[in-house]
Amino acid sequence: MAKWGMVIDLDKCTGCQACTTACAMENSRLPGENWQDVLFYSEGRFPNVSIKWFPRPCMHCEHPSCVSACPTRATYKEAEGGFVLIDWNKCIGCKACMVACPYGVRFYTDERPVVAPDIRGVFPGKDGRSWSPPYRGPQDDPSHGVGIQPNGVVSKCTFCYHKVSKAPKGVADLDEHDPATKEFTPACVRMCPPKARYFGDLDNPASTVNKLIADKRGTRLLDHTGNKPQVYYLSGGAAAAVPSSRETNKA
Amino acid sequence: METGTLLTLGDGLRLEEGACLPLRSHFGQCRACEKACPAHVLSVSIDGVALAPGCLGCGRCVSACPTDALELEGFELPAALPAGAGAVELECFKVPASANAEAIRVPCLGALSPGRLAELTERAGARGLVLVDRGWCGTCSAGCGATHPAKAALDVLALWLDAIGAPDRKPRLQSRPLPAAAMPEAIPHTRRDPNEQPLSRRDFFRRLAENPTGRPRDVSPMGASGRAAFPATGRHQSRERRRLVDALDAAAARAGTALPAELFPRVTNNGACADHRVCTAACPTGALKARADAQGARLEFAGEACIACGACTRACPEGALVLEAHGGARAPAVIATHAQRTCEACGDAFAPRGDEALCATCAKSQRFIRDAMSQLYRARS
Repeated sequence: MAKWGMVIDLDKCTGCQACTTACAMENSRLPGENWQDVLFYSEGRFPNVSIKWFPRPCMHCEHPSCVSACPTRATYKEAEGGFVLIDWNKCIGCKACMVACPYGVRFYTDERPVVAPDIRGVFPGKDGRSWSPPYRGPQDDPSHGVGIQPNGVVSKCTFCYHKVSKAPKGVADLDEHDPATKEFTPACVRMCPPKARYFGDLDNPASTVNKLIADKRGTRLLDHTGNKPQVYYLSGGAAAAVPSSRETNKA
Repeated sequence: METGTLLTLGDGLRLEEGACLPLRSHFGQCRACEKACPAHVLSVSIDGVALAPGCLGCGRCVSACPTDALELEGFELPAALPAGAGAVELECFKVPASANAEAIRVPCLGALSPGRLAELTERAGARGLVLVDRGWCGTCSAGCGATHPAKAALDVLALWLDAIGAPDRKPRLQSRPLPAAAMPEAIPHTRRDPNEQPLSRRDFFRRLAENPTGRPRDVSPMGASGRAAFPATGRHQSRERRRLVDALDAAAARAGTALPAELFPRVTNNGACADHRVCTAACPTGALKARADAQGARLEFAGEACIACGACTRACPEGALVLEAHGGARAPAVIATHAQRTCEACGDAFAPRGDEALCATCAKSQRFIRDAMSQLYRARS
C-alpha cells in the first residue's frame, strides 16, 4: 500500500513542455490531446509583466469528485497506490466526470482534431481505438485507462500507472537519478530537465516528497473543494502552508 | 440495444449485459425483473444481476424487462401459428399436452409482455387470441395470489386498443378449469432437451469456469477487440417497445386512427439545458440525440423510442430535463437549441451562456489557474 503523490516546484519550472511531450509519447496520445499540459498565466501590463508557468497533471485526489459523478463506476480510486483511473471497458463517454472535475484534467477528444490536418486519416485506428501511432509503447491495459484509447471514452493522466504500479514494495521515492527506481518513474517526472517534479509515497514519512511538502510548504490547490489532491505545488516560500486555509507566516 | 455479451444467470435464464438498464449506469435504476420475480430470487445492482437458487423458470422477469434484456431458454414464440380457424390459444407449461394439443405453450401466462401479446394478437388477426385460465394460478408458486399473472399485460394492451378504437381483437382470458390435483408442483422444464446427455465431469467444471453465476462484471467485452462496453454511439430501440408500437400501428391502421399521445413519453427542458450532452450518453434507446451544425446545437427527443426509464433526468448535471410518462409526440422534436460559438482558446464549438468567449473546459482551466495563482502567490500580490 502506498499513496503516490507528486510535488511540482513552480520556481524551477521553465515551461519547456518536455513533460507534455514525454507524456504524449508514453501514452500514445494524438497530437495536441495532452493529458498533462503546462498552462501559462500572465499578470500586469507591459512593461511590468510577469508570466508564470503552471504544469497541470491529474491531481489524483483522495476524494475525487469524478468518482462520485461517474454513473458506471468506470472511474475509480485504485486501492493499492491511490491512483484515480478510468476503466475504458465501462466508460460510456457521458462526460459527467468532466463537468464534476474542478481541475479540468479530463478529456473527451473524439469530436474534432486538436491539430490539423487530422492525423487519424494517416494512421487510422483498429478495433475501435482512436488511432494507430507509428510509435507505441508496449503497455495496453484498458481496464486501467492505459494504452491507446478507444473511441467514445473519457481519458486522463494515469500517473503512469503501468510504470508506477510495478515499483518495488515499500520504496519511498521514485527518482529518475536512482537506477533502481528509474524505470518506475512517471514519464513527466523522468523527463523534466530542471527537475521541477518529484514523485514518491505520501504515506512514507521518509520520502522526499513529504520532506519537500513540509520544508517548502507544499500546497494543495483548490483545497476548499475537499478533493484533497495528491499533487502538491511549491512556490518560493510565499505560498500558504497545508492546509491552505491556515493563515501563518504571511511574508 | 447494442448486442452485448449474453451472460448465463443460471436455470436457463440469460441476460444481455448491454441492454440491462441498471448494469449500464447508475442512471438506470430499473428493478422491474426483481419486482416481477414471484420466487424473489433475482437481485439487481450495478455490480450485476444475480440469480439465487430457486428459480421457477416462469419467465415473468422476461416479460417485465422494458428492454428485452432477459431471455429464458425454451421460451420462444413459434414462427407459425397453430393451424385451424378457431381462436389461437395460449397455455402454460404446467397444462398437460393432452388437455390442449393445439395451443401455443409458454412457461407461464404472465411471461407474456404487452409487446409480445400485441404482436401475437396482430398475428392471430380475426381468429382472436385466448389465454386459457385453468384456475390454478392462485395456488401456483409462480402465481400472484388472487390476480391472474397475465392480467397486468392484458390490461395494458386493452387500454391501448381501446384508445386507438380497435377493441374488437383484444386478447381474452378464458376460464376453463381443470382439477387442481392435475397441476404439477413445478413448471415442467420442457426447455431442456430430453435427449440431452448428462454433463461430463469436465464439461461441468468448464461451464463453472466460463460462467461464474451472478458475476457479470468480470466479463470484459473489450479485451482484444478494443471496444468499449457501452459506447456513446450505436444505441438502438428496445425490441419490446418496437413490438408494441408496431402491433398497435397495424391495429390503428385498420381502425383508421392514429396512436394516442398517451403512448409516447414526453421529455421537456425547463430552460437550464447547457449542452453538456450527458443525457444523450445516458439514454439507452437513442430517444435523445444531440445534433450540431451551422444553425447551432440541438437536443432532439423522439417519443417513439423512449421507454420512460428516467435515465436522462437523473443524468442531467443541470437538472434541466423533466420526464412525463405520457402525452408526448411520436416524431423527433427539438427540446433545446443553443446558438454555437467558437471557443477563443481551443477552437471548439460550444454553446455560450451569455457572452462567454471560452468553452466550459477552457473557462474551467482559466478559472482554476487564476484561483491557483492567488492561492500560491497570495502573499506577494
